[in-house]
This record gives sequence, structure tokens and C-alpha cells, in this order.
Amino acid sequence: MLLKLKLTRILEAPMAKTISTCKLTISHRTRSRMFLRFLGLITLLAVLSMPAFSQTDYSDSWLDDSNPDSLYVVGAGVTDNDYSADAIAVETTLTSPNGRTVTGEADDYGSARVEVALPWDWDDLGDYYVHTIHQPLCWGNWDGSMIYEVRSGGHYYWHWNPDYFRCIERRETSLLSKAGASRASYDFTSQNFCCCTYHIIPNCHVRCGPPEVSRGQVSACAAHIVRVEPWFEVYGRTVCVSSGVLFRDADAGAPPCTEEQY
Amino acid sequence: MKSILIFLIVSVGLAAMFVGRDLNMARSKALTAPTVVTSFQTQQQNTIIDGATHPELIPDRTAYSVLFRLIANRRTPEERSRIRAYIRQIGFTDVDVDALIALANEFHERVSPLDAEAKQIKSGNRGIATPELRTQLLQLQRQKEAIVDHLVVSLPDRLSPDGVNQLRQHVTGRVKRRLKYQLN
Repeated sequence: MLLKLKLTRILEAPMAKTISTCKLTISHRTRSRMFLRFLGLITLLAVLSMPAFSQTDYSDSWLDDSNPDSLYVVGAGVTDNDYSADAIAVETTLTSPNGRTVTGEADDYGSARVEVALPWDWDDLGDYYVHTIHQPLCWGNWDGSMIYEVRSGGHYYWHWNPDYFRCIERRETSLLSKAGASRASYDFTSQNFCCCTYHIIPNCHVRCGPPEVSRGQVSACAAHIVRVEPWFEVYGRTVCVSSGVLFRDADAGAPPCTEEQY
Repeated sequence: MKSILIFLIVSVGLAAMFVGRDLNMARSKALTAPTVVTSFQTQQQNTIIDGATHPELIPDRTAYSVLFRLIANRRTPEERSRIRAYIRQIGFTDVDVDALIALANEFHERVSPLDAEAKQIKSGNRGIATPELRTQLLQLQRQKEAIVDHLVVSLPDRLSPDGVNQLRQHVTGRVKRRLKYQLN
């Protein structure tokens, strides 16, 4: 029904000149027959050229802790097409709470994947936003025509699409992840030949703060320490990144535990 | 006679619409051009399944296929270590991390020739899909699906029992919930 409606509008707009020229030379009956045949032809072409389409779009994010001295927040976008589809372009943008941003793009047949990353910044904690545009690139319009409807200022316009590879409306996937750090305080408990052992202070409720920690130390152990551990939360699941832990002496006593996120 | 002539002119005109443009030229512009919407496209949007609201409607095959695409074919050491970090955060041991990467790379090795063949068929015919070409593409698609199914079935032989459970939880609880899947 939609196709029929659209075809009617197509004939009313850019093909109008052709139809009106025919009016001068042929009878009304012949013109009606031609119109029906023309409709039939277009429908046939539309059916033949319309791909059976299936597309899977995906965005994800995680913390790359493979180098503890150089953590990265990673954003990824993937599209997996079935073989009836044509090429696909994927563009992923990762934006930090303070507005740092990075964008990457990839395109190919079958599937496309793009990954972008921002270096971990202790002063840029909070919501990281991954946004991916999945843009199918095709050899023709879905209904076989080359005519597009454009919405502008509350009106609809028909025109010949100059960039006909964008034949299907793009889709988007997005994801909000959270980067933070748990700042937990510990009191000294014991010392052996290599290490100082500490116990977490009472009422310290942080995401990442084990009850006991050991810290390698050759000199005297500090009475109190602060342990800062980065974490990354995706879809409600927090991953504590123990490889990125920092220890600091707390000479003025154990401060209250805090969660760093903004 | 006149109607046949007009018929032929229209046919040639429509056929010309499908050819004569360069894909590479369009790719660079595609992501930045303003969005255009056809009534047909609006109809297509209705068939999208959003995994965030209906993860149960996302087939396993679809989710695993995307996960394999995400993990496989890492060329640089940086890319490889980055995906290892991702898999470790599922809760995997190093042994299972290696096994899953091997599985995804096997997917890539077996599916890449199919991707290439499909690309050749599509680009060689500039998007004009005859019934014969459609049949060929469908056969390739079936082969790809069979590969994914086979790899998913082989998971218990390739990963530890804990790894299999963690992966299933990851696919169900995370991958499927971030997918948008458009049905035919």
C-alpha cells in the first residue's frame, strides 16, 4: 500500500512532464493502459531490486587495562550485515565527561568494526558516552526508485537523490558507561620482611576496596594509607581495575572513604 | 507501437538509475550528508528489534556473530591486548581468553571468503540483484550461519565450564541488550 501511494506521488511530481506530453498525442484509454503498464513495470523492478535486508548494530565500551601505566577507555561499534545487504559504514564517537572526544570510521561489505579510545584521566571521571552511526551504503533505493522524500520546515519535498548510496536511513546505537575511582583508607595492622599489611577502616563503603591489602615497602610502614582504584561500569556491572591501583601515605590520619565520580 | 516505445524508454531510464555511480565517492559523503527518509524506510524501521527492551527476541546466532566480529582479526599488538582486556573483564581466565580469541579467529578465517565472494557478487553487479544472484547470496548466508552455529555448539569443547557459563551470561546480559537487530 505504501509502495502504491509512493508510486502515485512519484508520478505526480517528476514524471508529470512526461505524462502531460503524452496527453497531446494519445487517447485517454491508451494513456490509462500505459499508466497501468508503467505501474506494473515499476512494481516489478522494485520487487526485483529490493534486497532482503538484515542488519545487526552494536556498540560497546570497556576499560583497556593491558598497560597499568596507560589505561584507556575504549568505545567500539560493529555492524554485521547479511549478504543481501550492500556495504556498511560505521562511525563511532567516544565522549568524556569533560568533553574530550575521539571519532573513528570504517566501512566494508559483510561487516564493519571501528574502535576508538581515550586515555584515562583521573580528572575526567563520570559518564563516558559511546555513539555509533550505522549507515548502509547501497546500489539503489529500497523500492527501486531514485526519488526521496525530504522533511524540511514541516513540509515534505520529493527530489532526485544526488547521493543515492545513502538509500536507507542510518541507525544509531549508543551506550553510557561510567568511569570512577574508589578512594579507600586503611589502618596499619602488621609488617613482615617485605610488606606492610593494612585493614580497611570501618564504614568504608566503596565499589573497589578489599578488606585487607599489602603494600611492598622497604622502609617503615605508614600508619595509614589511601588506596585509589579505578573502576569502570558498563550496563550496571562494575569492573574494578586492580592493575591501576595507586597507594598514598596518609600522614594526617585516615580520611573518610569516597567514591570519585562526577 | 507507441506504448511499447515509451515502455522501452522508461525501462532504459530506470535501468540507468542503478548504474553509473561510484561507490567510493559516496562513502566519504555518506555519514555527513543530511538524513533523508522515505515512506518505505519508515516502514522498514518498524521491524527493528531493540535488544535493550527485548533481548529475548535476539537470536543467539546473531549475538555470537557480532561478538566474533568484535573479537576477531586483530592485527596489531595494541589491538590484540585491547580485546584481551575486554574478554578478561567478562571474568575469563587467560586460558579461556586465548580459547575465545582462537574461536573468533576461526570464525573470521572461515567467514572471510564468504564475505569476499558476496562482495564480489554485489559490486560486480552494481546492486542489481537478479533471482540467480539472490540465490547465490542466500546460499552464502546459509553457509555463514552454519559456521556460527557450529562454533557456538563447539563452545563446551573449547572453553572451560566456567568460561562457557560466563560467555553465555555475557552474551545474554550484555551483548544482546546492546544489539539492534533488523529482521528481513
